Amino acid sequence: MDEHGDGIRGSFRVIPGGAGFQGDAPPGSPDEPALVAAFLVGDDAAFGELVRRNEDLVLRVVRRFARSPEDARDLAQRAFLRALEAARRGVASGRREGFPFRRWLLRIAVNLAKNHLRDASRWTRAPLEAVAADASATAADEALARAESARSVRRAVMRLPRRQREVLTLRVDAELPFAEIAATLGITENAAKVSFHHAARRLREVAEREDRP
Amino acid sequence: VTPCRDYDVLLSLRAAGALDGDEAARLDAHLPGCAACRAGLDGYAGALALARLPAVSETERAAASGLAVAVVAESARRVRRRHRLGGLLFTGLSAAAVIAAVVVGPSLLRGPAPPAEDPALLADAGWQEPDLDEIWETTNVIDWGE
Repeated sequence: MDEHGDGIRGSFRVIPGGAGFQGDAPPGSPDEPALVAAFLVGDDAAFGELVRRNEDLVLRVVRRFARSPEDARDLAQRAFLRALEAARRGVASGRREGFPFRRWLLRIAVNLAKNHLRDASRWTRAPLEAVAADASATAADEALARAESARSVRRAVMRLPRRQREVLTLRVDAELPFAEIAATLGITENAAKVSFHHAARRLREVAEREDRP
Repeated sequence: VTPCRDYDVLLSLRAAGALDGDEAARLDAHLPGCAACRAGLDGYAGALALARLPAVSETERAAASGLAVAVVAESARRVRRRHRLGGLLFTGLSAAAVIAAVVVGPSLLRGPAPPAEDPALLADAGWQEPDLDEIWETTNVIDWGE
């Protein structure tokens, strides 16, 4: 099963390489392993380029779990620094070629987000406030009802089992193909799709319950 | 209304834009004749749309600006700190080596220590009570006479 959703109502756009669209490498620029190798021999500019290429993607992954924009930025920064340490250790242990920086980065971001979620008070604020603000601005009953449904569904996302939540986040927020989600989480592509289906079914149940008068 | 069991997974994947090839064709052939699955597809699409976060706000963009610069600066700071700690460790070890040389050095310069005494010889070399009778018998008494 490949990734296509054009023309399907309500489906998701999947960008090759995920949602790091602002950080795509310009033609002729060094690839990721070359940048990692350059940084590890002291080229700070190479790491800056790695960050620029992936920062949107990481922010999208952690955004759902952050209590504020600054919190999201802090989580993203920690993810990059830990990925850097992982790259250093990888090279120190002899893995000089082909270090999967982006995969490590995503895995670390997902883990940081999971740990951040332990404090339940953190996830009830930031993104949901934006919805509430939109709703109050329109002051329409329909918009308010939709905002309430969105609130319930997003809370349900946080209550999903860990694996389902990770897959859903990487698909819905980061817009990654299932093959990359599977590689990031160290599972098969089929397992990733099954986890996604269970998560989507749970969210559909919550949304339908919200729709009932 | 519950979607057909055989198509339920395909419906959620279609709603996520992740269905193509034979499975997509199979679902496309099934949907026109199945109201339950059409409703199921709408349900999945609606739930996933609700699950999506709002678009990134200007506040978020502003907070995230300069992330690359900040990360590189923090990384450089950590490297400097690691080097400083390494330098401190080197200095500490050097100081410990100097102290050890001062304490242990003189004894090394004195040369090798004398061999240890044989415990058996030391035991024999101890003081013994004299045998007075033997001493008396072997002593010549001087007769001064008159």
